Amino acid sequence: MEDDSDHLEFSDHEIDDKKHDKIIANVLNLNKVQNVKSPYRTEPTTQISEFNLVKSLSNNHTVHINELTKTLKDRRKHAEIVQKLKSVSGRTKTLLKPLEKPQAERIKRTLNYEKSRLQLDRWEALVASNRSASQLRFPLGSVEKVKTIEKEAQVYPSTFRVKSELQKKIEALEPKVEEYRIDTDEANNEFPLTLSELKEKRKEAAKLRAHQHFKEAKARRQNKIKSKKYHRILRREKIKQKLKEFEELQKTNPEEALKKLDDIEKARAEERFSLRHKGTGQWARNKQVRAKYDKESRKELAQQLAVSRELTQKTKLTNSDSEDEAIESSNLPSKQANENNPWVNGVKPSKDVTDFVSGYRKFWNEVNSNAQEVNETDECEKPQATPANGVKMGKNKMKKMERTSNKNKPLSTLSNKVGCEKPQTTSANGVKMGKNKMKKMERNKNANKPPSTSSNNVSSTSDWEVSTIEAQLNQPLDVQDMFGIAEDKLNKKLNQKLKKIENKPESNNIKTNKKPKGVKQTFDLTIPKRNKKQIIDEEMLEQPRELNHDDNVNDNASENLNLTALKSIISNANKPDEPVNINPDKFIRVKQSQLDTAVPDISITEENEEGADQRDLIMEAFEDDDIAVDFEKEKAEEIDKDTPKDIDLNLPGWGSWAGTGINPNKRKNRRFIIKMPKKVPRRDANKGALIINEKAQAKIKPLLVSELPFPFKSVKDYEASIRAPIGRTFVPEKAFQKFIRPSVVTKMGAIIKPIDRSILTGVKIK
Amino acid sequence: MKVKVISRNPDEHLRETKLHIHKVQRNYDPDLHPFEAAREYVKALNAVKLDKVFAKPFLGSLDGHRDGVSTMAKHPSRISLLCSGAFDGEVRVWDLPQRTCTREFVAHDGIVRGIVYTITGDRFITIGDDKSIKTWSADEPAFGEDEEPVNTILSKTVLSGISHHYTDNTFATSGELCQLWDETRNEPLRTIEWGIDTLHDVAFNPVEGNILAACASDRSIILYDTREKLPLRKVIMKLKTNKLCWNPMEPFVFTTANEDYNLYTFDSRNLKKPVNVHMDHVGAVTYVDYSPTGREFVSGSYDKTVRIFEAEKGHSREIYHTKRMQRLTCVLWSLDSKYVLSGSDEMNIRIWKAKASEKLGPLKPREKAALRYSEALKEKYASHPQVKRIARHRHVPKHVYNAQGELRTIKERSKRKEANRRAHSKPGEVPFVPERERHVLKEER
Repeated sequence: MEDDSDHLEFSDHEIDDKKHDKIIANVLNLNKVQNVKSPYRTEPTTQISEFNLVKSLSNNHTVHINELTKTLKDRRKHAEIVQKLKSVSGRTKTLLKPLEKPQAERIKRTLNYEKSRLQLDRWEALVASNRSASQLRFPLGSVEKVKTIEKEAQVYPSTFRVKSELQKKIEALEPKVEEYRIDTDEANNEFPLTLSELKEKRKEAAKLRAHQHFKEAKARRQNKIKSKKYHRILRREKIKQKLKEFEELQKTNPEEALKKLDDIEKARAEERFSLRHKGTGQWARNKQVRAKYDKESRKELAQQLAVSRELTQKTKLTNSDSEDEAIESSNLPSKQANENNPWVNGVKPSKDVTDFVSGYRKFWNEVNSNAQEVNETDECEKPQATPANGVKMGKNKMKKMERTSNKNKPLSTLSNKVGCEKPQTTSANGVKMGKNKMKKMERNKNANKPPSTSSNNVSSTSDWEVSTIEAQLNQPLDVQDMFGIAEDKLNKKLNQKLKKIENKPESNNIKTNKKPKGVKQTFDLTIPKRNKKQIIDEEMLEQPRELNHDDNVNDNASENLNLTALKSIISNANKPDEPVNINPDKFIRVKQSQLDTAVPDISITEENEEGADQRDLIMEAFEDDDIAVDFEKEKAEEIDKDTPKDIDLNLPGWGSWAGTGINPNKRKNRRFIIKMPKKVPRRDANKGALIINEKAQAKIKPLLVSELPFPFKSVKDYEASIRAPIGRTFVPEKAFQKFIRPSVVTKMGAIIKPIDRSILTGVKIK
Repeated sequence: MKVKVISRNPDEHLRETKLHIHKVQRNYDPDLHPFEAAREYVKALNAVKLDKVFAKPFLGSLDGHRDGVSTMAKHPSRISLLCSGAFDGEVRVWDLPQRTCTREFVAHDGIVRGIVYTITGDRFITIGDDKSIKTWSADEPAFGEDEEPVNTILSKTVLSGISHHYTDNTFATSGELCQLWDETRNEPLRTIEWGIDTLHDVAFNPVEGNILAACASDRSIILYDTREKLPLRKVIMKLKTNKLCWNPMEPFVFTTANEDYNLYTFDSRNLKKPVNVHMDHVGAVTYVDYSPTGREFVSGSYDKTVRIFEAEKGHSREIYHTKRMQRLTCVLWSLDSKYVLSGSDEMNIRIWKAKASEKLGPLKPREKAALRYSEALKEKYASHPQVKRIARHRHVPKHVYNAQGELRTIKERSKRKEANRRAHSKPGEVPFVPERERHVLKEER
């Protein structure tokens, strides 16, 4: 190449050097692609054109700083500069080449995506809650906007009044005390109620108002009723209610009951001495009727009135006596308490009340101190009722002794129980006695006898008691009698219970002792949660109209029934029959596990207690029959009925002559007999005294659920969800309404807008 | 002697005032109701049967278009209004309760590709094959006036889909590019592109308004953010996606109607695989629209049926078809979630009930309670075979039935083949791929 050029040079002398150089440069640069020339500074500028950014060519033309500094090296004067430049060049780094465009964009896109993902993530919780919500109402947040018009607090301006001279003076003497009130409402106003709270408040207020209104209306209605009978019934009912309460109180808190009794007595006494009932008694009324015609009765009436007048005067006089008595009987705790209180001291309870209370108290103390004693006395007092019990107890004890030692325990508890319950009865008796006493006292009063004497002879005999009761029966009912009757009833009940406990066989006693649950069963009556719903995600059964699939299935089924049965039998028969040798008696008897039935087994079985007896009865009744043999026979028949018979498909005359005198070929006939297996395995084959009807379930089976539906994890759960009824006829209205709540509720004609972002930000709807 | 008399105390059966409810004496002791379960079962069975008796979903058809219905649009605030466009460029506005056409005009040369109402509902925007975006007033022109668009924009590119923002005055069009427009401007605000494939559908997220999704002809679904210069992400499916719809109640969920007969529900935060695959169609699914409650969606297909799916389930709960209904081009769920509208190839728009046996109109409280009770019973006994069978039984056209059979054999075949391959190769070599992962090719960043 060079030779050629030389040759050219030599041959052509007139070639311009400049041009020649250019050409050479061009040729040399042919394979280097650099159309843009390397920049060179013409004049200083701050902006550098992007077009001048060129790949730096590592040729000799570029000047490096260190080359420049080389020239300065030997001069001491510039040593500093050299150092500086060196340090700078060491520190600086050239920037990395920017990423390729697709890569850069990808990074940007991923960043953007992450950002938007975060934005969407905020909805996660809300969406999850909406998905699992038992009910959604659309349009969402469509609670009607409550517009709360702020009512100006109706503060009436304190009217200005011209003050009189006196007023001014008084004010000067007693300067007005400035009162500061902390208004709680205002403090609350700092945090205004949310919409839901407001609504709740409103609802509550409305409810209250409605309730009030209802009550008012009822009261008004009742007030209008003029019927005396109605009012009488009402009064009686009230009294009954009170009595009931009192009874309950007596059981739970005798002290309190005592107090209450006190109050009741006081009320009664007040009513009595109000003299409103002067002429209202049965006797008085009878007399009044007769008074028109009968002189004597008139007289008697007048006398009676006079007596009453006298009595009232006398009671005022005897007050002082009662005071003395009160001091005497100061051992009463209630009295003591009253002494501490000066206000109460002024009011004195009526005498008979105090008497009664003292009597009751005594009885109570007695009872508590020696229950055993009372027990005995009680037995003494009621010889007619108790002997039988006593005998029975004795019997029980005998039995007890015979039984094993571990069975003694429950029995002892039983006796304890009896011991415990007796005192109660006696205490009740005590109350009765007290009342009887009071009756007597009243009578004493009528006879002008000092009541203190009667209170002294507290010790009572059974004779006395019986007579008083009989006397009471004829009289009209009043509070005391009611108490008495109530007590009687209580007594009776207790006695009955006692008897029951004693009569029960011991085994039952043991049971009751072991689990008190049997006596007092508690039921969980809460509404079962039904948050689990069956999710059926299956294809629909899609068929064209002409193709009625079900009928075909049925037809096929009826046709193939025999065949399939046969096949199954044959297949079963072919199986190696292992279980034949199993002896059922060798197996451990497993306790039968009960299936959950449709009806919860709530009934407390008192009949079970009689089970044993019944069995005995049955055994007795069928003593003569041999049940076992009968059963065997029955089972054999059943098995025989179920075993498939051979099918004879012979057609006489088919392929051979038939008729009288012609014996059909046995060997030929055998070919047309379809033989059934002799031994068909049965489920009850080894079960002994049991017949299993294998066909029984055939009808119900297609109606039962064969697979556990999706979200349920155990059969028990699913059964539980199915078992509880939801209908109006089976559950109360409230529960029914709860059960039938639809999962999505939409409003007719209302546009449902997409969910709003304000739900997330929590901006209140105003 | 005491004589016992049957006493009828009026307090026990008469109410105190007229305002009270009637007294009903009931004993809820379960011992007295030994057959409660059985009775409820029979009630449930009867309810299911009655459901079938009353299942008459077809309410009516709107006829008038002279070519297949290509697109429809719901009015944002009026349930009774519907706007539809046809393949011949005609646009009609319908009054649904009267089932009459209130307005008709030719809007475009060629197919009307999309119609949207503006947020206020006083205008609607149509796009067509003539590359123009026309804005029309929702009010009818006065007597004697011609139908004139309020505004016409000539786009530089072909347009195929349009979607309006739910709260702003912006809308997006798809075509060769995804463009964002302002109602007041004639130039697009922004153009977002990723690759050069055409987009045939675009949809604004109704809740998070800055998020946008589009379906491209390269079988991909692309997510955009209107605030960003670049798109967000792309997911490529095995077959083309025809239509996309966001769940209005779950802002990150969208469902796509795919060419492979299935619908896919995606969580836009995790595009690697769909959350759910909704099967049952036997033809390409052309359209999908969510119920405004977000619990269900309706899909129209090339197999001439409309199906209603529950959003969380893989199979449809309802199939609608009539003898004359041809291929579906668009289906809409009305904004009160009570009706479904379908537009099809054979020029008709049909109105259906969203719940086939629902009683329309106001219900009396007792009626309502009874219906709710039967609904609850049906739910309770849903998995009992008889109830299930009756509830899920549907008549379908023969071609659908046959296609189902065909598809079933195809599926079985491929399954068998896979099983065979698995059996005859090294363990682990032929992995089990769940159905949900089968249809997504890849997620592109």
